[in-house]
Amino acid sequence: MIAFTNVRKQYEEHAALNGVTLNVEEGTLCVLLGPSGCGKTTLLRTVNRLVEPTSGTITVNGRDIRNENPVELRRRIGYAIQSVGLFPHRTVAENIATTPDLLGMPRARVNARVDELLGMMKLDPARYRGRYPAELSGGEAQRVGVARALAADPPILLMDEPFGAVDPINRAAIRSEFLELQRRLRKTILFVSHDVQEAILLADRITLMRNGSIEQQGTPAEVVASPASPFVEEFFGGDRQMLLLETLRAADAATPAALHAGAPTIAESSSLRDALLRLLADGAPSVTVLDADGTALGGVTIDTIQRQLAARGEAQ
Amino acid sequence: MSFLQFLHEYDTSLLIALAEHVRMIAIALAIATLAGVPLGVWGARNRRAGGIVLAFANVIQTIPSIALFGLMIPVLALVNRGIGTFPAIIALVLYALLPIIRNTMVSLLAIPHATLDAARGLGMTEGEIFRHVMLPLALPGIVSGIRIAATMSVGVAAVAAFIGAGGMGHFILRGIQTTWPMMTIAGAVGNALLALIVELLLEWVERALTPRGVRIGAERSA
Repeated sequence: MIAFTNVRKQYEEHAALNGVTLNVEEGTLCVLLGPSGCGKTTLLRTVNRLVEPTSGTITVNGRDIRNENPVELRRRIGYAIQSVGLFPHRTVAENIATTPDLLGMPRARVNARVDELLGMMKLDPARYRGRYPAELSGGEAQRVGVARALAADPPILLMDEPFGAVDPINRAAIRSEFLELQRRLRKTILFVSHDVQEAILLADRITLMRNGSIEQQGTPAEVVASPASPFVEEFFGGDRQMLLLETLRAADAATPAALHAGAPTIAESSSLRDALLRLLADGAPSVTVLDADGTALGGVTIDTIQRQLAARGEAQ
Repeated sequence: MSFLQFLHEYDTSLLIALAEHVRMIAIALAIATLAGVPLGVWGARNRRAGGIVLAFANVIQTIPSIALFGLMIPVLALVNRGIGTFPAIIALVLYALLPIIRNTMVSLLAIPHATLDAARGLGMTEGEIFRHVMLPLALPGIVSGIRIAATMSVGVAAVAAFIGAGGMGHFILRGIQTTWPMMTIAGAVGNALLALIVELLLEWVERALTPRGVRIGAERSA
């Protein structure tokens, strides 16, 4: 768990962080969301002491990080950034092995770990191990950057827009792969983003920041459904209803009563937004939600969706 | 007397001059590298210091070489070493400093901020960042600075004959004084060949020291 208590960071005249108090629970992914200059990156960088707060306390798994050696602290915390920062003179394998090597992990174990991580990132180890960063596409480089952050199997990950520098199609693919991975690994992750869609897809909790302070925090559904201020409302923009549907799982809303024979089907992990798009695309009265075994969990109709929105005060 | 006859006649003294020339340059470059690289590293870490160091090296560079050699005479006469190889080497060191300091600074500052941020964030100590990231990435640029300094020194060292430092410049000078063009040409051609060899040799070293991943990157973006 990461706990911030009244963290301030003052740069001469400018306050980058204005007393931030925030808990990131073990095994959850917290997205720090906000416009540029809101302090989200600064807050992230205080955790591994790349930025030293002016005042306030930060604990990682109950230990005050001020009492820790910064270098040792960083080796226990994964770190991935938007510009990736792969070492151009080192191969993909050497890049990924950075922290394990610093920790003095035995060679054979490091090599096995590198291959395991490349596999996890859907990069064929035999093809990619010996490549140099200059030989990678943007998406591949970001995957390697995430693999490098995970290399020493840290319980905590800091990710600063780690998928920011990829084209939109690849970004969607990397995001959902990463989400799948996180469901298995259950790391404690602090994730900086300025992208609302990304935050809703990945976050267990969203922390929306503005001018160095937290404007609102909660689950994606809470933050989208009940914005605490005009700023939050504006930040999520005119698509708020669609975003809200995106935060809701179709499987949770599906009812046996809405099952129709021959209706189009969607997977259990789909959101209500997926269900709605399917309804519109197929012109069908209902969609059927299937679990992994292909068993029907229930149906979703336009009515179901309207009731869900109404329950959250968003029906028009 | 044909040029070949001339070479035959003066082969020993030409070789001695060449050896003197190479020795002067080698000593001066070694000193300039040992002083210039740390100064460049310091300048890259501390921008204010870097500015001052570069300004100083720039000023030296604007002094014509013949004037710098001339200045050495009264200054070093105080320690009774006003003429000969000693003042020549000092002047060569001063000249060689600028390209070496400047290239060291520029190569270090050219390393992307994200690369250094990642290195620090992944848990490298400052020493590890320098050894594993900064040095390998800056090394080709640093050697390039030494190469520029070396080729330049070949030419400047020729002028050092004016203060009795010997070398290929001695032939050029004597040829002028005795209006014997062949002697001047022999010195000048020798000097040019030496500059070319030094250039090619250090270019090769620079390429050999460029990490493979960086070379691939340069080829891709070219």
